[in-house]
Amino acid sequence: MAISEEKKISLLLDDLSALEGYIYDLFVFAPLPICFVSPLGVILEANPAFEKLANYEPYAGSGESLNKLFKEEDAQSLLKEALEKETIEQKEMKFFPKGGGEKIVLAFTRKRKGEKDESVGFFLGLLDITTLKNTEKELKEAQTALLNILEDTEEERRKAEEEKNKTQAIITNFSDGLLVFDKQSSLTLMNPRAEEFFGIKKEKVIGKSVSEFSQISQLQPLATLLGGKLKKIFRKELEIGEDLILEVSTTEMKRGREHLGTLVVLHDVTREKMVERLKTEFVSISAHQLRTPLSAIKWTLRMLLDGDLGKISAEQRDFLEKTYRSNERMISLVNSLLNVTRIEEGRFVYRPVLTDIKTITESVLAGFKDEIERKKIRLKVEKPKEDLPKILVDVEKISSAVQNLVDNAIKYTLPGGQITISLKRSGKGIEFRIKDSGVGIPKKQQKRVFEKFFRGANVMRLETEGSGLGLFITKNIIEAHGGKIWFESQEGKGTTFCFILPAKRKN
Amino acid sequence: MGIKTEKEIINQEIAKRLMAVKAQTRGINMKNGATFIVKEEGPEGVKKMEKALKELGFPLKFDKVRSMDFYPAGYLSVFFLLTKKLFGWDDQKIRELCGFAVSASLVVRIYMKFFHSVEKMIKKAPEIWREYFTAGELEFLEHNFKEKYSLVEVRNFDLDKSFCVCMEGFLENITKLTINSKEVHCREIACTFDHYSSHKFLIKWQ
Repeated sequence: MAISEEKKISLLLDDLSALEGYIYDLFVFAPLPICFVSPLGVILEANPAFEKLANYEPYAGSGESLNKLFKEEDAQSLLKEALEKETIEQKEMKFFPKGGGEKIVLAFTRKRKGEKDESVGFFLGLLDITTLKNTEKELKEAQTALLNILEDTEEERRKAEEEKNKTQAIITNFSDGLLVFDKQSSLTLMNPRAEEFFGIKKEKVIGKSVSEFSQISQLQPLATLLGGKLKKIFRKELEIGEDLILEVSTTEMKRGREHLGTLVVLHDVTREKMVERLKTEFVSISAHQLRTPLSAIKWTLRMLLDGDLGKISAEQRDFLEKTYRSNERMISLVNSLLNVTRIEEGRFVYRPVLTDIKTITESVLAGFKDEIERKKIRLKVEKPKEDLPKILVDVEKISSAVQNLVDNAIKYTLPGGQITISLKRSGKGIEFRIKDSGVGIPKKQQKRVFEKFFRGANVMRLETEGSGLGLFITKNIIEAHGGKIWFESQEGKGTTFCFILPAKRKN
Repeated sequence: MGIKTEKEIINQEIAKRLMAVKAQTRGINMKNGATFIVKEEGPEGVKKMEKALKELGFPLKFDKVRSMDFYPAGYLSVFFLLTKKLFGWDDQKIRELCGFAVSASLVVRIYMKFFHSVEKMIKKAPEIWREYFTAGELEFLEHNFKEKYSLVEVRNFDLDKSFCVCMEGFLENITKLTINSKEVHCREIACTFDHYSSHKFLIKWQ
C-alpha cells in the first residue's frame, strides 16, 4: 500500500524532531565547552559547558563577542585563522571569563561552509588546562626545588663522605685500639690497632656480642674485664700474653639523651709499665743495698754513744747523736722506699688480726710524746662515746698509717699549736680523725697530696725533712683494708685527715 | 484605565478568536516558549501552561510538538497572553522570550549561514518568514548602515498586540547576531491595531 504524501511528511517531521532532540542532547551533554562563532566573531550559540567556563547565565552566551573572552588581538588572530584553515588544533590561549579571572585554554576550531563553499563561521571548542598548567608550573617549581635539594643533599653527602673518610682514617691510624659496640652490645667497629692487639681479624668478630667474646680465646680476658653488659670502666689494666699490657676504658656514646652504644679504648701501656717496673726494681735494689750499711752505721754509732768503745766527750756525743738521728732518718726513708716498691709490686703483705684501733692509736701517740712536749703542742684525744668494736687489720701497717698522719700533724704544726685526735663509730666502720692547727695545704696542690714524693710548697720552706712518701703509703694501706681516706685543709689554718676502716669480724 | 481582570487578558472567547486566524507557524516557536518558561518558572510552569491551554479548549503537549511541523499561529498569542495571566509577565518579558528564541533554537542552527552578512540576512528574511509562517509577509524596507538603522515591515499578519511585542524581541536579537553589537533596539512604529495598514519595526543600533 502506497504511503500518502501527507504521511511521508509526517514521518519526516518525526525523524527531524528526533534528530533535533539528538543534536540538542549531544550539545547539552558535551563536557567540552563548545560554541558556534559567526565570521564577525559573535557567539551564535554556546553549550552549557561553554557557558559555565565563560561564567555566563544559561542561554546568555549567544550574541557575546569573542573579543570579550580573549585579548582582542588574540581573538582577531583566532578568528582569522579559524576562517582560513579547516581546523585549528590545540592553540593555547588566555581566556577571560565574564566577571574576572584568567584561565588557560586550548582552542580547537572547525570551519563551517555555506552553499557556495564560503565560510559561514566555525565551531570553537575549548579545553580548560588552567589546573594542568598550574600543576605543571608547580611541578616545575617542585622539580627545581627538588633539584636544589638534591644538589644540597649531594653536597652534604659529599661532605659527610669526606668527614666519614677523615674519621675512618683517624680510626684506622689511631694509635689506640678502638672497639665500638651498638645498643645491643654487639661489636660494630674494630680498628686495625685493636686487631693487632688481639691478633684477630675484625671480620671474625664484627656483629658478635661481648658475651660471645668469651668463646674466642684471644678475646677472653677482655670479655671478663668488660662483663656481659659492658660495664663502665676507666683505665683498667689488661695483660695480653707476656709482653702486652693494655689500659682499657669504656665510654658511653650518646646523642642527646639517646644511648647509641659504647666505645672501648685500648691504650698500650706496656712500655710505661716496663719503665715503671724497672724504676721500682731499681729503687728496691738500691734501698736493699743501702739498708745493710745504714744498719751497720746505726749499731756502730749506738755502740759509740753507749760508751762500749770507750768514753766520749760531750762535744763528741753531741756530734754522734746528730749523726745517729740523721742515720735514723735515712733508714726510715729507705724503709719507706721499700714499702713503696712493695706496694707497687703487689708484695705488700698484710697479716690481719682482730685488734683494737684505740690501742694502736695510743701506742703510736706514746712514741711522739717527747716531740709533742718539745714543740709545746696541745694534744687532745677525744674518747669515743661508746665502746668501739675490734677490727680486722694488719696492726703493723695500720700503726704505720696512723704514725704517718700523727707525724705530719706534729711536723707541720707550729710550736704552741693544737692537735685533736678522735675515734668514733661511723656506719659500719670506725672513723679516725686527726685535726691540726698547722700550716695547711695550698688549695692548688690538694689534688696531689696522696701522690708519691709530693710535698707541699709551703712545708718544704718550713720543714726540710720528709720524703713525700708517707701519705702515699698511708692511702695504700687504708685502701688495702677496704677503707677510705680523705682530708680537709685550709692554708694557714690547719688540716684534718680522716680515714674509715670497715669493722669486719674475723670468721 | 483601572486594573485589568483575568478575563480581559485571555479567555475562551479571545482564545477562540485567535485560534481562528488563518495562519500557521512552525512548532519550534512553541517549543522555544516552553523552554523559556522552564528557564524562568521551572518545569511546573510548563505544566501550568499545558493545563491552561486545555482549559481554554486547545490542548497542547509541548514535548509532543514537532519543531518543523505547522500549528495554528493563534497558539503564539494565546501562549503570550497566558504567560501574563499565569506568571504575571509583562511585555518586556515577552520581548525577552522571543529574543531568547533566536539564540536557543534551531533557528540559529538552520540560518547561521546568513548571520555573517546583513545583506544576505535582509535578502533571506522574507523567505525565512514564509518558511515559518503560512500567512503574511516580511520585508526589509530600508537598511542604512551609515545611520545605523533598519526598517522592517510585516504585512497581512494580525494576531494580537502581544505578537508585535514578540517581533520586537525577535528582530532585536537577530540583529545583534548579524551586526556584532550588543546595543540594538527595536520598536514597532506602526501597527495594524493602531489603524495602520501594516506593522513597521524600526531597528537601531550603536
